[in-house]
Amino acid sequence: MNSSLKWINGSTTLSPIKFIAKVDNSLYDLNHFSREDFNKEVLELDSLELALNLSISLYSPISSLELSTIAQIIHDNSLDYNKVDIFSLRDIKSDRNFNTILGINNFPESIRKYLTLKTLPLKSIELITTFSTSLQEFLNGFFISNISTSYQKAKIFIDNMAIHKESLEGVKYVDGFEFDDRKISSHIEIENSLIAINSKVFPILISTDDNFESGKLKFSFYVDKGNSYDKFIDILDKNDKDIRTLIEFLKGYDLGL
Amino acid sequence: MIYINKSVIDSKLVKMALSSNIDYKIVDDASEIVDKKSNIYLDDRKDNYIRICPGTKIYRCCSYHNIDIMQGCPFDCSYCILQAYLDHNMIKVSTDIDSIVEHIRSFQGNIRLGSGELSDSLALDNIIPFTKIIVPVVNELDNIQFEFKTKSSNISNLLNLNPKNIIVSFSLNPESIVSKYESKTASVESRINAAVELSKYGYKIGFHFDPVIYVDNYKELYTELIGILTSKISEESIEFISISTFRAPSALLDAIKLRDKYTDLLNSDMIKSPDGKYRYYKSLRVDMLRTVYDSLRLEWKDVFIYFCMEHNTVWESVIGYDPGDRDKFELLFNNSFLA
Repeated sequence: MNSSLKWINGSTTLSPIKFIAKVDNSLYDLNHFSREDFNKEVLELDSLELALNLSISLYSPISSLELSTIAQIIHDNSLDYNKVDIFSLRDIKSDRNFNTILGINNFPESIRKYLTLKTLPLKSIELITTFSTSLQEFLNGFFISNISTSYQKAKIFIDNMAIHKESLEGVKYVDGFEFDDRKISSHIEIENSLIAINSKVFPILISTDDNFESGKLKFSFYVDKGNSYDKFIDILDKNDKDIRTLIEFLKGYDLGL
Repeated sequence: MIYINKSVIDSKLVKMALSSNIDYKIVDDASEIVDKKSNIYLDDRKDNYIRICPGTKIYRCCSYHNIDIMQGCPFDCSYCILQAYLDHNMIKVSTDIDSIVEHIRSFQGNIRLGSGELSDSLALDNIIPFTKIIVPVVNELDNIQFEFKTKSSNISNLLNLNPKNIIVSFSLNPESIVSKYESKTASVESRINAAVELSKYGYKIGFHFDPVIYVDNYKELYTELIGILTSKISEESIEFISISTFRAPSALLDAIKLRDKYTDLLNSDMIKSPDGKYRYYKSLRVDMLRTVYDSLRLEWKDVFIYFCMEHNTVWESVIGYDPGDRDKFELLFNNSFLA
């Protein structure tokens, strides 16, 4: 018995009959793959595409991983995916989309496992195919720890990976990982940082005239009889490290310095 | 209800409006009309219809021009600037079509022009069919690109017109924000579907993520919206996308509080900017803009994306360049359609 059409991922049909397709004198299981303890019925079909359509119609729902296995069968047998209805039903109508689905077979284990549980948008799957081996392993680590995560959260995680892919190259996923998003405004935190530096550099005042809208940090002091220019240069020199730290801190908040 | 000044009853626009068998009343002037959004008043208001979009040197602006045919909007967005800008709620429509067309024809040099500043361009197009007047005129001109900007899905007239040199743009926000702050507008899904239909017909499409509004889960909401958008329409159909966060002059803040003193629209970190408008604190704003920009760029690599009224340092933080002053900024738009 030739069972090269086996695409299913472990589940079975409710049918009490094992259907077998006969195409070009070869026999192919259409359901109950590799199991012989059923009444059998052999159907003569014109093509393997028809055999696949019939086989797929016996099962529901079909996961993305199973779809990928079907794509592999099509690829290995040089079949036409346009004639296998499940692809158009899933909006897979171009070679690019087909190759994206085909690529699932090469994903690490936990990504493939996730795709048996949840359906990700085709574009998310396409993004994964563009990831390097290292990035795919990172995503695999995420799914090992978060196999039940919603498809929306998974999609956002994958999108974020694409955004941060350069910094993630070679990084191993660890539980609780969060993307290094730029910190969202903490107006008070920034105000406090200015208060802290001003307590060190007094009577120099380090401030912003416009809440950093123009990306400028203002240093102000008056030189007079009691406050010589050298005095201010001394203060700035002594606090040089802290001032530079402040500037880097503000840059981290995208304040345009 | 439509109210028509008795002096314009024989005008072309009134005849077009009345051809849809709509109820109307003839009046001597606007004082006879209850001042509410559901009332439309047509008269022969003369005006300088076309103006360059107001801007400041502090924040980067392009050379977009507004054509103010209608003043007022049937939609009732909580954040709408018209609450502070107009001194009336009713929708005032000028029937002075000849002057409007003359203004459009009189422009020398390339210009981008749109009718979505003091009203929604298409919300009333089934009643006051400006598209039928404007589009054929713009079709004849090689120096005008005209934009109809809308939060509606009222596109039926456009599907019988020539799309040459016409952009139809849709303002977008996540559905939960639309439900909360964009009263009486079309759902996001129907706006996107309308965009898809128009793109298939041949129109170039624009999208405005403006205003991007802060809510705790804004990253999730906007990412999800952009995922839906990019899966439904092809990048090739898109002429441009604008992004800008919520901003408001103090008069608008007052109007927003007046309509709902418990609104959470203002419950975020806002500061007064050098141009007098209130904006989200810069680091928050950059994060919001970056969220939308990066999500769009994940799917659409080439489409022109710009920020409306943003500081050059914000452009540099998010996109990596400064668009420059008005004239330089304007050159970034794809004017290849122009002669």
